[in-house]
Amino acid sequence: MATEQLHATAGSVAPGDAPEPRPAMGSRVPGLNSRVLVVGRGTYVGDLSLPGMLHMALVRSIYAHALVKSVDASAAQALAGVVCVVAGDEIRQNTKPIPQAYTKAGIGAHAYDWYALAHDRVRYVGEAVAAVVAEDKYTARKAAELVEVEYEELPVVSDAERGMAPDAPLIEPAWGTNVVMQRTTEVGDVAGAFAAADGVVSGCLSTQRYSASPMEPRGYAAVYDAFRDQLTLWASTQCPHPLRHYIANIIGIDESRVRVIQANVGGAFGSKIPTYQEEPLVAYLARKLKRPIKWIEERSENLLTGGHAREQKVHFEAAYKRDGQVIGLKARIVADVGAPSALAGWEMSLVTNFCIPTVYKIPNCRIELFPVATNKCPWNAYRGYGKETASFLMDRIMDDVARATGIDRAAVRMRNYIQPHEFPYQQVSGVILDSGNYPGAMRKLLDLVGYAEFPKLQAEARAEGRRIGLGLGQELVAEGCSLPTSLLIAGYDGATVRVNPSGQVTVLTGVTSPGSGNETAIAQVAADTLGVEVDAVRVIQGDTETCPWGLGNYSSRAVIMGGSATYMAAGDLREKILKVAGHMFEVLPADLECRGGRIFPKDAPTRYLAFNEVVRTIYNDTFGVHAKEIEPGLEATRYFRHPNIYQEGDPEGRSSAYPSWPNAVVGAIVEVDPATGALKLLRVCMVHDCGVVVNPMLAEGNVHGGIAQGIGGAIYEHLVYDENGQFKTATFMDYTLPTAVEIPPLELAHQETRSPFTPLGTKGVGESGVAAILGAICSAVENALPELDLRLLEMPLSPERLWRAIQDAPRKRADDGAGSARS
Amino acid sequence: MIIQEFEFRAPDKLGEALAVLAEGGDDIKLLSGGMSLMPMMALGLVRPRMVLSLNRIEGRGYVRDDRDALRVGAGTRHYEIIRDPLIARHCPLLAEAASFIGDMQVRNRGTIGGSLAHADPAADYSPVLVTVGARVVVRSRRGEREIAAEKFFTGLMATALARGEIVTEVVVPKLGAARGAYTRLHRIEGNFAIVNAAAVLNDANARIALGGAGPVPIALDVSAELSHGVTDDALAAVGRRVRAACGDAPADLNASADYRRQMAAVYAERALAIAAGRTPARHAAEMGRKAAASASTQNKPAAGTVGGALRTAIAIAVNGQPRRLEADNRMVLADLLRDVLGLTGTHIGCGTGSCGACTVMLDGRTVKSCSVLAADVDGCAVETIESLAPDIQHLHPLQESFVRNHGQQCGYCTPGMVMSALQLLRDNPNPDEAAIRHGISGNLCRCTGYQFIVNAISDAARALAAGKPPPAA
Ligand SMILES: Cc1cc2nc3c(=O)[nH]c(=O)nc-3n(C[C@H](O)[C@H](O)[C@H](O)COP(=O)(O)OP(=O)(O)OC[C@H]3O[C@@H](n4cnc5c(N)ncnc54)[C@H](O)[C@@H]3O)c2cc1C
Ligand code: FES
Ligand code: FES
Repeated sequence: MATEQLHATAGSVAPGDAPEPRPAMGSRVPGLNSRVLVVGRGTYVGDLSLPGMLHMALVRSIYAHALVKSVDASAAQALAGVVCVVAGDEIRQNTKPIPQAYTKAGIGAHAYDWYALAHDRVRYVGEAVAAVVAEDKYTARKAAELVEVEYEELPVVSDAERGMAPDAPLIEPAWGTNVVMQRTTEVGDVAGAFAAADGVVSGCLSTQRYSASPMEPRGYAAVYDAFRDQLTLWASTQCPHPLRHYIANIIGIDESRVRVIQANVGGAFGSKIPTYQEEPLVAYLARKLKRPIKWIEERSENLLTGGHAREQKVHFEAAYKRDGQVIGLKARIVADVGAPSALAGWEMSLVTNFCIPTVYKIPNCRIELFPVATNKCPWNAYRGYGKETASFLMDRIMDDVARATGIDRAAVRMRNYIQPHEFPYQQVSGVILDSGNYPGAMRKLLDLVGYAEFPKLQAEARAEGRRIGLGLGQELVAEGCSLPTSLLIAGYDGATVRVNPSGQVTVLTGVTSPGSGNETAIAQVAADTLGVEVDAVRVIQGDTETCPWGLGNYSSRAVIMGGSATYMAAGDLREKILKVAGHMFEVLPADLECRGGRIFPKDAPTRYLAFNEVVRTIYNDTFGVHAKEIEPGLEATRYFRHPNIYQEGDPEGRSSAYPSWPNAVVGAIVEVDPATGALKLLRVCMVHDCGVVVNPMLAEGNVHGGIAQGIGGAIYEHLVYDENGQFKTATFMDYTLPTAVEIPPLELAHQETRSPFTPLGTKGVGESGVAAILGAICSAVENALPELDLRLLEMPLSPERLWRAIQDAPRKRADDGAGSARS
Repeated sequence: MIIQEFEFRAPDKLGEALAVLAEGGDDIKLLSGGMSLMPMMALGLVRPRMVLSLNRIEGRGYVRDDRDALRVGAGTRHYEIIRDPLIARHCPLLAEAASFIGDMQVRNRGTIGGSLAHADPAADYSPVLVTVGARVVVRSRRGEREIAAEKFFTGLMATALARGEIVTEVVVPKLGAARGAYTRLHRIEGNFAIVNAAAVLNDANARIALGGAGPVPIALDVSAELSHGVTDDALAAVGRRVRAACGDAPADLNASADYRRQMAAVYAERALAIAAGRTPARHAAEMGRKAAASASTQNKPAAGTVGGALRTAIAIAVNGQPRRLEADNRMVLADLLRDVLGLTGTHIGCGTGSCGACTVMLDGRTVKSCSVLAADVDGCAVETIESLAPDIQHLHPLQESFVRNHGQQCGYCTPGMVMSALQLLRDNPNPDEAAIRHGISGNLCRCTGYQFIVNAISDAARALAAGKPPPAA
């Protein structure tokens, strides 16, 4: 591990730069936008009404795979109120394909030119074939039904493993295969490890297809001002600046003439990162028709086409020693990534690949990856981004090894952890884990959940005829993603901090909020760095006309990148302000402190100047004796580039796309009804490490949400296709999100290991919670039924699936294990 | 979104409705609570030429004591059944079944008559009505007839209703000394059951009915099996009979036919075991506690409906302001509030009654405004989130509590969540954690994991109890 090199790259942001703990940071400041949201005055795209506004509706493919022979819009055109209908040909002629998030050739992946409308072929049910614009939304949708599309059906690939067969129909004939890319990572001596093992556990893990399902579906509204040649697009997006660049490219307009405004976003969870077909369509049509156009997605469209995730199988074998140490691992990942597109989706399987073996030291690993295109909705970014499957896999392996060796589940994990002194630690795939204290977090969790006392509770419950179990789960959540050659996904971001003449602070960031409240954390950073109250800080995000270039929010980057950039920019201003204040006090700036809106000598806090007074001096007395030595103005823009990213590759050619590695361990207690397979979660406890916590209340809220989505994925949510690629779960009656009744009380504790690579020690929190719960629930169910040799590897744990697993599970013999113990 | 135009009629006399129905032909849909019809129309699965609302007809919701039976008006809403003291005393398992239906907003709006006519194979009322031997009263221009509940359901979502007939009443025999129970298995709260079961037994007789396990409720007389008491062997014998009787169990995404058959047996046994463990008096008392003495709300008489056309004139009070408007019949209340009145605090998350983002108060109780036709709220009072805070400094105590406890993140579910919390605290000022979770189960939140919402509501309840004024009534 090249520790030397790391420190060299870390450069000026050495750990010592961090400010001392101060009032705003670390405290439970209520969300800055909460009051507005709780009175219903948020402005989401759907709330916009523009003079003369038209409405768009889409004609979507009813087949999973078909040639589009013709599109006949005459009946639709004839309907009163219909303004225009466009089909694929027009889009093909007048626009460019939606840009890929990064150049695929670099990693040997196939790419696909995805246009805003399909023109000759559709590759999944729901792919957009034509767009209708009408005076009102009812007419638009009605007309969309009247557009007659003639299809010729093609053979369908509805399963990844079948799609890999040599005789499978091809989704992209030009590729000659359905496998998007193939990658094998091998480190150490895998064959040797398996030969030296005391035993091997093996199985096939399978996770189902599911969806982000933000409560606000997607929505876009565009206005084109022909006289100024200016296009304004309001979007429910996570990434306004990249979207602006892409829109300019796709529809052929100068980037400087496009303004993207991120309205309030009603949740995103990754699904609103990339550019879909609808944004360029709305923009194109607004420009073509010179009238405002709005498109608001219906829930059924969101479930059908808003991006899917996670349908993967992982075939695994793990070699262990009698003492519980895992010495070798083979994994073969087959991901059902849906139809090729420009969404940021199939790459999630790559992330699964390189997060393995997560928090454990397993020196000998062979990991094969096969993302396979199918005739289903394309994968798109979703919270967890593939990390959850890696963590889930390792949890299942640890439980298998515990069972096979007879060692306690926590102890097996302890035996295999990377130790706290070993950070930064280079994991087998080449990624560099920044910091962590996994044994420390586990010990805290065991206390929190009452691990030692649980068998007694379990026995008492059993005496009452109730079957309860406790399970453990662990997650390692790579954050701050940075992909080579990507405009959209990169490990840096910027912020402008402006101290206004009256002393209030405006922060403009390149990072945005999907409704998670990161603006509050950023305000706290600015407030503490400048020594003012949080109330004095306003944060503006998401407008490409006013905010500095930035990549928006994903991969929990808002506080890591945006918070750090804000800290740097505010730090520059603080320096200027202290210089002037020093002059006023006749002391060295280094001997001054600013806090709570006051500036004072460290040794004489009662002799203070108001922050506003110094600011006023800088603005109003620019040529005066105190301010004349500094450059006028109190505005700074800084960019933070995360130093723990390696694109070049180490001697083995391994790069590291993720700089930040929050982690968590979960204890879940469930009650199982063996007669029905119904599960009830009784408690979920989590010890969570996201480095320095800027706002514990916001961080906890985020993690709670992550856990709830994880629970949804473990038990309730499942997107289903039939063998013809027809979609079966287009409403919330079928795709069942958990309600407040299904989610149990959630208990959290923080464990703080600072990141040595960020000025504030933060690591990111946005995706935490979704992964560890998967393993924890499986583990808990198995624990609740100790008399059965139950091994849960197939998700979700719907009542029927669990009931069948219980029916099929062999009764355990006392000495039986999952592994084939060798003598 | 409903995209097909339709005519809307809302007569205020049953006779008039019967006449319209008799003359109007086949593609007229009756509208009661709309909790089944509206989602189907929004998804385009049902496209009637005319919607004939029954909501303007006065006196459709009632429970009356009639010697050895209760007479329940077809327009009685689910929440009224849960709270009715007569039902609690004489047929508590009907209230028990009602309390499982959907969520608070669905129970506030949906009606027993609509549920019967819709005849979903897993509906909660059906097995109860079949086991207790209820009779369905239907009226047409030709007159009135009574159909035994067991005969009423004739096939998958099919009933014995003839053309031109309207369900007007359900006659529910009093249980007397018999004991009853209702229980069900479901995937998530607020969704239809996978299977459900009702049981009624007294010293001589035992009857059960299973829902979700066939196209219609499956009723069995299990007196013989239980002739020596409710023993494990007897229950096992019942289980065997149930499995044999459920050969036609449907398969869908929630469950295979085989699983349904097996679960029908499990739930039949459970319902019997619960019923056997009950004494009638205790059960009645349990349900009676839930029956609060609040006056039920009826729709007010029509202020004036434009018949026939594709638009309807309505007069409503929104947040205390009287408004006269004309709405496209396809418009739902959420659209009226958002697109016409600019009250965009009411959000749309699904449009099919499943998420609660659109929750508002209609005549003082929460409903999902995406699943109520604008044309159908003529004469009603609507309260939206905008009514709770005059400005950003003066939030409702519940809203202050949300802010303090971080009960919102993206804010999309929040207005609906606050409205549901308001309803919950009006009904039960001192809810425990389980009651809070149950009370907001009609409101999905994807951001918060609900914990801080639950904290916010219980904190608000404490704050309100500690002397601050009660939530605005
Ligand atoms: C989210 C959600 C969850 C739900 N969960 C459950 C559940 O768990 N269990 C359950 O049982 N139900 C559930 N329901 C359905 C609910 O119970 C409905 O209220 C009920 O099925 C229909 O009653 P309604 O009054 O709303 O009828 P409507 O929707 O108005 O009408 C339903 C049908 O009956 C016809 N109809 C209505 N009234 C009459 C009448 N008097 N005479 C003849 N025909 C009539 C209508 O034309 C229509 O075809 C749920 C609904 C929703 C939206
Ligand atoms: S319930 Fe009305 S929008 Fe979802
Ligand atoms: S706060 Fe975002 S959905 Fe509830």
